[in-house]
Amino acid sequence: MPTPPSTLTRAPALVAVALLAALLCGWPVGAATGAAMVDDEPIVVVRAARVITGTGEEHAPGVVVIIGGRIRSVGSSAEYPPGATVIDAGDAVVMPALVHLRTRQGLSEYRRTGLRADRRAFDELVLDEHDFGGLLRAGYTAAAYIPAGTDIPGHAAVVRTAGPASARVLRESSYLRIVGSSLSGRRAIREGFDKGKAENEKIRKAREEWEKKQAEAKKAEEAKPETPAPPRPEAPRPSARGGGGAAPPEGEPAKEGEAPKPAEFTPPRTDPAAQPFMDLLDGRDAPVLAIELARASDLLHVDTIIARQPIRSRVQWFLDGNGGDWFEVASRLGERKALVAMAPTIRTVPTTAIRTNSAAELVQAGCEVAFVPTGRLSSLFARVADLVRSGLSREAALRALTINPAIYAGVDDRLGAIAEGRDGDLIFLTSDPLDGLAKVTRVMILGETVFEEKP
Amino acid sequence: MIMRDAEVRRAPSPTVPSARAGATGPIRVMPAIGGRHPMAALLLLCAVMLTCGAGRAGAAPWQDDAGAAPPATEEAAPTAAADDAAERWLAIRGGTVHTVSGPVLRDVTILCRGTRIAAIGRGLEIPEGAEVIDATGHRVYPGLVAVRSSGLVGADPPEETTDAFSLAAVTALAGGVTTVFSGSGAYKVAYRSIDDMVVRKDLHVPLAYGTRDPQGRRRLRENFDRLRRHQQEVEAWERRRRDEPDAKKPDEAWIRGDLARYRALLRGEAVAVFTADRVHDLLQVVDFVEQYGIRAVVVGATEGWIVAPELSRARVGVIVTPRARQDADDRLNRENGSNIENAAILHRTGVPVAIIPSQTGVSFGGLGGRDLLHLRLEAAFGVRGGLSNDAALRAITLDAARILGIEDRVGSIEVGKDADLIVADGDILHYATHARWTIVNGRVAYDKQAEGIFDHIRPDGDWDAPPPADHWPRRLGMPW
Repeated sequence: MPTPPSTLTRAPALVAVALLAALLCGWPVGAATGAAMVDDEPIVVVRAARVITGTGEEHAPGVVVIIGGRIRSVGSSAEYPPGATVIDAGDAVVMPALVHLRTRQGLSEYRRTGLRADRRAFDELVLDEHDFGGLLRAGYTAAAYIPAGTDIPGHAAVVRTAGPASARVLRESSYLRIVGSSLSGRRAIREGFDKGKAENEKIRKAREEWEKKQAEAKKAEEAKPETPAPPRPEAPRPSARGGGGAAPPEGEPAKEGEAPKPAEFTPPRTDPAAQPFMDLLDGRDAPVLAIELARASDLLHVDTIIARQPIRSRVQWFLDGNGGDWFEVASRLGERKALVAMAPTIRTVPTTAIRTNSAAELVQAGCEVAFVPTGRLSSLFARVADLVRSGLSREAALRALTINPAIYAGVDDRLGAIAEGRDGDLIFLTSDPLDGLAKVTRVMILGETVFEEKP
Repeated sequence: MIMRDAEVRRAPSPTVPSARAGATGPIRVMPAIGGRHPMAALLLLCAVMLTCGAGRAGAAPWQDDAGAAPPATEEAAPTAAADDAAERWLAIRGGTVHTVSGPVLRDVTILCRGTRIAAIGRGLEIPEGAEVIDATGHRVYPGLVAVRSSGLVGADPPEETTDAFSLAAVTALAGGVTTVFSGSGAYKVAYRSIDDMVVRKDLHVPLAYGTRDPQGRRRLRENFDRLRRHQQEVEAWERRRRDEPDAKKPDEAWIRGDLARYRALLRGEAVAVFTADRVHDLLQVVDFVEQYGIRAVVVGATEGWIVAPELSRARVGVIVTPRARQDADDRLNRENGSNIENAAILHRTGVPVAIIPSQTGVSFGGLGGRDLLHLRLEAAFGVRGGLSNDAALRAITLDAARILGIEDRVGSIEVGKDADLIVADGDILHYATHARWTIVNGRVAYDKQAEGIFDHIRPDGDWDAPPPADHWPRRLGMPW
C-alpha cells in the first residue's frame, strides 16, 4: 500500500460538507461525478449507526473507508477527502458480507465415488451463466462450491456472487471435501494416505537412483582424464523438490540411459488423485481437508485413521446430519481447537426429546464454529439468534457468521472481517444481526453496491 | 421324565469354596505386573492370585478331546489407544466378587491395569492416579456375554462402523452386557470408545442341516466328504513324499469360500452353528456332528431336553431361551414341545448351555423384558426351571464365552482376563438389581447415576437420597 496522500488528512469539519456533497450527487456510487480519487482509485465512505467488524469489535457509530475496493480504515470516526463517495446507512448495522462455506446451489448433481482428490468443483462452474441472485440477496458475496458425490469427490471452489469479472474467482482450488460419515469415505481417506505414502516412496527411490547414476557418471568422467581426484561421497542435491502442491510435472520416468544425462531430476509420474496426500505427508503446502461427519461416532472412526498422520492442523470438520449428539465429542474437538462448520439449528439428542445447542457446547469446549445456512437463506440470522438466546455467546455467534466461514473457505485474507487491507465486501442490516429480525438491505462488493433492497 | 435316569455324566458343576477360603488363598506373583511396575514389590506381597482351577474343571466336555483349544490369543497390535491404556489403573474395592470361575470373595479389591485385570486380593496397594470405585455393599460380576445380538454393534466390520454413542449400547451396558456376538465375531459393547472393541473374529460357521431340506443336507455331506477325502490324499502324499520327493501335492485351489470354512471345521479350527429346535432336527445335527467329528453349537434347542444325552454325547453346545414356548402336539406319540426345565436338564446332562433372550437387540418399545437388557432375567428363568444360580450365571458369562470360543478373554474375573465387570447393587439374577457401574476394557463405560436411563431409581436403594437434578449429562446451563 502506498502511503496515504495528504488529501486524506483533512479537518473533520469537512465531513458534513462531504456528506452533503454525496447526498447531492445521489447514492449510486458509480454515478458519482467528481468523486475523489486516491491514485486514481475511488474512495467510498460508509457511515452507519453501528459497524460490526467481525474481529470482535463494534463501532457505534461506525465509519468504514474503502479505497480502490479495499478497506482502508474502520472506526467510530474517520477523515476522508471532500470528494469521497459517502454512503450514509442511517440506522442500519453494517457487517462483513457473508461467505457461504459449502453449497451446490445451481449446479447439477451426479455420482462420484472413491478417491478423486484431483477433481475440482471449479471446473463445473460457468460464472457468466450462473445465477447467484439468491445468495447475493441473502448477503453472501462469496460462496464455496463443493464437488458432488461421496468419499473424496474433490476440491471446493470459492467464487464471488457478483462484482467485477476480474474479482469473481477467489480460489479455484480450496479445501478438499471428504465424506467421513460413510465407511467407504473413511476407507478412501486411508487409501489416500496409503497411496500418498507409496507415491512419495516411489519418487524418493527414483531420486536415489538418479543421484546414484549422477555420481557414477561423474566418477566415470573424472576417471577419464586420469586426474586422481578423491571421489565425492555424495552428489549435490538437486533443487527440484517435487513441486509445490501442484500436479507433478509430466516427464519421462527417471530411468534413462547413460548417454543423455538429465541435467535435472524428473520425478516419475504419480497418481494426481493422491497429490494432496503426498503433499500432506511430506509437509508441503497442501489443501485443508474438510471432513464431513454425520454423527459423533464418525469422529472416533475418522480419528483412528488420521491419528498418526501429520495433519491435525490441516483438518476442518463439517457436522452434517440431523443428529444432536455432538456434545459427546465436544471436548475431543475442543481440545484441538477444531474449526467446525454446522447449521445453526437446535437439535434433539438422538432417541430423546432433549434439545441441544450443539454450537454453544462446541464453542464452550474450545472449538471455532462457522455457520452454514440451512432452509431458506434469509432465515440465517433468525436461526443464529435462536442459538444466542439459548446459550451461545454473542462474540462466538458473530465469529461464526463472519470470519470463521471465511477461514473455512480459505479466503479469510480477503473476506470475513471489516479490517484494513481486506476487500470492501459489506452488508447493511435493518437491525442487529442477533435480534432475530435482521434483514439485508444492501450488499457491497469491493466498495460497490451490487444489491439494494427497494423500499 | 426320561431325563432323570438318562443322566450320562455329572455336569461340570463349579465348585464354589467358601469366601473365606478364597480370600486367604495362596500368595503368588502377579504375572501381569511383576517386574514391570514399581508397585510390583508391594503387589507381590499382598496380591492374592486366583487360581482358575474351577474354570478348567468346568471346561465343556466338547472341548476336552476335540483337540483344538480355542485359537491362541492374538495380542492386539500396538495402537495409540493401547499405549494410553498401559498406565491406566482402575481399582474396585470393597465389593463381594463373584468370580464365576472360582470362589465368591468378600471385601476384596480388583485392580485393573489398562484393559486387563492385574490383581485381585485384599489390602492391595492402589497405585497413585488410579480411578477408584467404592463397591462396598455391592456385588461384582464379570460382564455378561450375549451369544447373539442385533443392533448393538455396526455392520461388518463393526470396529469401523459402530455408533459409539448409541442409546442401545448404553442400555445394554445398563443390563450388564459387555460382550456381544455379531456377524461371526465377538465384540465389546463400545460406548464412548471404540478402542479394543474386537474380541475375536470368525468364530462361528453357520450351517443349515435341517430335515426340511434333504437336498441341502446331501450337498453339505458331499462337500464334507470331498474335503475329508482331500485330507486323506494330503496325508497319503505326505507319507509318499518320504520316498518320492517329486510326488505332486493334491490340488487345493478349489478349497475356497464356504469350502475353506468347512475345512476349518474339519480341522477343529472353528465351530459350526446350527439352528434346530425339534427333536428330529437336533438328531440330524447330532448325526452330522458325530459323523465328521466337528465342534458344534445348536441355537434354539427348544426340545433339547428330550435328546439331552445325545447332545451331550456329541459334545454339542446349546444356546437356549428358557422362556421359549412351543406347545406340545398331542398327536405325536412321544414327548415334544418346550419345557421350562430345558436349560436345567441340558446342563445336568453335561451339555454346555448359554442363555439368550428371544429378542437379541435392545428394545425400547415398552416393557417387553425379552431383549438383551434383560439377558440376566432370561437366565433367572432358567433358575425357575431348576438351573442352579451358579449355572445360570455361567450360562450368561463363562459358558457363553466358551461357546463363542473367547473364554480366555472374558466370562470370569481372573487375573489376566479383560477387565469387563459389573458392579451391581444386588444379585445379578434378581429383577430389582441394577448395574451401578459397568466396566469395559478397564474403563467405566456405564455409571447409572450419570446416564439418563435408570438414574431416577434412587442410588443404592436409598429412598431418602435426593432425586437427580438432570436426566442427561448436560454441559451447559440451558435457560429452558
